[in-house]
Amino acid sequence: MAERNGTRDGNGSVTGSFKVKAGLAQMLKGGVIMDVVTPEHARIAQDAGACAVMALERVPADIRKEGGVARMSDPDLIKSIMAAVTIPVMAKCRIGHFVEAQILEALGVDYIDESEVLTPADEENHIDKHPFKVPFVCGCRDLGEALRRIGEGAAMIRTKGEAGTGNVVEAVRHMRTTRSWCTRRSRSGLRSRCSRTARSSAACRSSTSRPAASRHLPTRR
Amino acid sequence: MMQLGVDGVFVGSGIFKAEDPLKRAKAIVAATTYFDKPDVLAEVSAGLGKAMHGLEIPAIPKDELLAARGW
Repeated sequence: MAERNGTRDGNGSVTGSFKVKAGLAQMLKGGVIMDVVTPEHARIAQDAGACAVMALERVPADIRKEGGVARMSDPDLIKSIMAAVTIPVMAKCRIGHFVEAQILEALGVDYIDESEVLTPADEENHIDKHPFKVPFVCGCRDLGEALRRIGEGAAMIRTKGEAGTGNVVEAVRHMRTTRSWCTRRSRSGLRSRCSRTARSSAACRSSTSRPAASRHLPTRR
Repeated sequence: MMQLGVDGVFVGSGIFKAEDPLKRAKAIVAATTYFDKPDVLAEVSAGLGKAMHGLEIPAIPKDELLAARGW
């Protein structure tokens, strides 16, 4: 099951499985991922020791200031940033905008952020992330939201915070809430292996009772 | 955030909206690595220039809050 949605090539190796997707998230542990809007920014971020960059047209503070609809960045910009650095490049697509995600995958980005910073394209459905070979990161405010995203195939979870404010108070609230829900679960007698990583959260997911979600669960053998 | 239990940090506007992005970016990387060493944090927090201006969250109209998007 760990190979779910992966593709087996002639040599029997699997690409794009959940294990591989979460594996990249594990490789970024302990690091900083920086929003950049130009190739020069990307090089500064890389020189400063960023473990990855997020290629954007506008940083969240400007998106907030300018208003209007915020969309996926111009593919040319993303390509120029990918050409400028050797570290992984992430890019954002709108919530529920699976075609933007398909485009980003075709461009060869290393991670897709299905992000609330951009204007949502679908208020009901997030992207079904399992069929993609590229991994997704999604935001959450609590454990329930994190697990819904993992059920849809997200391989990394971040707290949402309130982007573009320079104010950490919401990120702290979301982290505290998520952690306390994890603790509550483990105290309630369910054996919870929930932790910060998507992989172990996915394991935690298996003890939830929503059948629609557990269908997508990668199980540990 | 690292002490609260995260595995890593996303930084949005904070770096390139600051006065000296390279210096601030390096400081954030060092602070993430040495999150449990206050003496190192004191060292890397010094002399970074102006930070991004920032916003009080209660001052933002409810319908402009980004975190409420998605469910």
